[in-house]
Amino acid sequence: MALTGFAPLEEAYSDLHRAARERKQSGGKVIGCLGNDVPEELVIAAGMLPVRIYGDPAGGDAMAERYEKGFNPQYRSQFTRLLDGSYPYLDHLLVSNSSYIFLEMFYTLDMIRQTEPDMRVPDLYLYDCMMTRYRSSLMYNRDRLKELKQHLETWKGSAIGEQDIREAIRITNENRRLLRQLNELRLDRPRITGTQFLKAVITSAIMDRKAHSALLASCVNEAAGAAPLEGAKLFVTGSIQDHTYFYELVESCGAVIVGEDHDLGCRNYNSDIDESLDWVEGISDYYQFRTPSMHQSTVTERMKALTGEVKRSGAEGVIFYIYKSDDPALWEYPEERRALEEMGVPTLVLQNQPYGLDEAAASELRAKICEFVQQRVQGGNVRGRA
Amino acid sequence: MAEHNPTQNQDQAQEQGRPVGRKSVKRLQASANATKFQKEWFHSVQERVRNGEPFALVSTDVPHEILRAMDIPYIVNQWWSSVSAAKQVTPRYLDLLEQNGYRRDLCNYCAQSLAAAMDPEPEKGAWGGLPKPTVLIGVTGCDAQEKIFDLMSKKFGVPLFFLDLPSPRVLTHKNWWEKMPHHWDELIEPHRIDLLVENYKELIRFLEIHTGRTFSETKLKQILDRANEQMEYKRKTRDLIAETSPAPVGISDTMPATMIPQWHRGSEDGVRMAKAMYEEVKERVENGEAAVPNERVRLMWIGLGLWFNMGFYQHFEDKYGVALTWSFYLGLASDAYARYGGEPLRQLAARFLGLDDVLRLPQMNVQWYVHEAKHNRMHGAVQLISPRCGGGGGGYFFKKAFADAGIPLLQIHANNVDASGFNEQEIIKQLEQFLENEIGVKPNA
Repeated sequence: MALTGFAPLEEAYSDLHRAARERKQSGGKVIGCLGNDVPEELVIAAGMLPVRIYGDPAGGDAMAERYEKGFNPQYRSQFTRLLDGSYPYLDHLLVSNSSYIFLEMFYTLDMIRQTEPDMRVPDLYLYDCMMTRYRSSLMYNRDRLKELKQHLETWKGSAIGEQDIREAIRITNENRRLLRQLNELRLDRPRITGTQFLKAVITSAIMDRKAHSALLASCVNEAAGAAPLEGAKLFVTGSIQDHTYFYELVESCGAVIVGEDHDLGCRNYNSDIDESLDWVEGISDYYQFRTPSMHQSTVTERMKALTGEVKRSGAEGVIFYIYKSDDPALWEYPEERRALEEMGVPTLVLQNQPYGLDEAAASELRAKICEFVQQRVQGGNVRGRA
Repeated sequence: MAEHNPTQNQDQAQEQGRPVGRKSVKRLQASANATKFQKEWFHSVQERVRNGEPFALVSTDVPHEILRAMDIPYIVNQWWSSVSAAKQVTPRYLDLLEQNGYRRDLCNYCAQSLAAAMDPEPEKGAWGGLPKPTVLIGVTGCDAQEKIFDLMSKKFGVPLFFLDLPSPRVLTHKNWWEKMPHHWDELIEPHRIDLLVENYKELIRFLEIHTGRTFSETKLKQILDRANEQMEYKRKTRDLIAETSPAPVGISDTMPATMIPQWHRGSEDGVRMAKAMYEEVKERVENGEAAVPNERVRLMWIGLGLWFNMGFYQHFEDKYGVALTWSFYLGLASDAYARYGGEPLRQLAARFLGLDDVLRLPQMNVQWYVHEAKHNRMHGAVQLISPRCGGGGGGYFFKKAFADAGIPLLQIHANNVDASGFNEQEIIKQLEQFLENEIGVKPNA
């Protein structure tokens, strides 16, 4: 039985720009967020809507081609979206130093802005956060956070009050809490699909967070009473998935995705900002110490986080889905794969993958995934669920 | 440890049908001397390690000056890749990476030491092989490099330290090369320098703990002064080459003669080698000796050197009278390293932050390359874009700036370390077409 409570989230996912357009129409400001570590709490506290920049698997990569960007195809798509008119409503763009790729995008966009004004690159700001877990990095980030607040105040035209920041932290924590609750409904006996959950995470970064939390709450209530789904429980790691093509493909093979650690996965909700702390401490600690991204992290850190998440999710198999030229992922997977196989968790590595999937690519992948699910995964069709 | 004969690697490569590069003919004694010195120095490092001294394996943008001030021998990861390529050991290393589950085409410029860590017969590496390090030091700027250093740390079983790489928000430093040596504090945001200085203090403590060596501020000051002196010789050498036609030397000579002393930056040997290079180039200018006596075209080489095939460049000298006279190795040594004044650790941080900005930021590097093309009276430029490394893209602003300046630019895509994907005939064809069609030069009669 379809879960009707998910319909509003599905609608939001089907038009990723709607919330931003509505905010603009009502006279509000919209801030694009590029990179996975922009502290959106400060943007919300400034009364603006933070909108994560996503790629579009059907939109091509013409601008990456024009500016000769050698990024992986998802980043090429994101870069293209920023220049092809997909985000006409952005008042400003905030870029976090979450990877050298985002830095390179920042410098390229700045260069285009300086030399090719017709390209209409939005006003840019670099949030230069260090991702190492050293004290010196943390203290550096705290100073950059204070500077970011001052910069947002110039965009806003007035001061951002401490109470506004506390309220923004409360709002984002509530959103994370609800995402956690929804995620719990994927574990043990899954009540929702991975595809539904991914849509919930994707939309959480583009909608008004309070409105999103209201939708999540209704999804959680409805899904809690739903019948369990059948299928092998799989975990997805590797390249970021900011659309659902791959999830839908996997789940059409008799599987349910019960966890993921890419940049739209568990690091977005499995911890909270400590509301009892001063805002600078709370926000900086949260972003510094949450589950590591694949970028700016060591294989050791990632392997520890991945094996922990796989255990916690109860996944019966892990798929590494890695885009073409996603080199950090390619350096990670051999050690991670060995560790998982030693834990008795079967793995499937799919590398050199495209960002979108045409019919031929999807059909080829589907055969591989179905074979993996049926032949190697405990919950697959061959041995059946115990 | 018995030294493996590199020609054996070449023979094996040929037997297996793998392409091998060509050696260049050296005209500069300073270049041959530097290469000889480097081999002897490397053997002395091996000897010191065998005798129980600590040894650091570091990334290129780690402040070597600190290690020198602590008398810790070190080897630069990327140098090991280039010497492995030059000695034709890279195919063996790529095989090892593949056997351990890693792809052959990944980050070749940074991954050769990881392969060495996996090598059951390490003595088969270049010049008898990479010694096992006591510590590793990396920089967090590149997502892949962070993982490679972590994997090396596990394979070697040694501790690892990472330096941060804070980035600039202020991006309009016109003619930065005029201001950077003496007014770096006006170009580099102070909070970035503060962070790196703190990192350096942490690094010194890390090294004190793991190597038992002590740090001398007095020594560091002397090293910084010598590094500036070394770079002054480089600048004077570059200027001599820029102003002289036909050019006294080409990049087959200046690349090793620049980079080898660079690995000894701030040492007496580094200054001696830089001075010797300058004096020899000056003598060649005074005697009217030229790299390409019938010089008809001056070309600049932008990007990394083809370390496995240094003889590649000479084909164009012979056939077209092309003098490849500029590479960023000597260019950067001339303009991007020298720093004067300030506290020693701040001066050092300013060196690495400024250098990194120049390498990464089109806002800084494009204007400099065009300036250097004009200063060196170039007829054209060739840019090598290495696949994957740093995204493997980034030629757009170069093309535009060179077109605006009326200087033809050819972009070629090739791996600077792994010869296996290097289609020499195809690249020669591209370059010949460029020379004939864009620059308008015909083969020598």
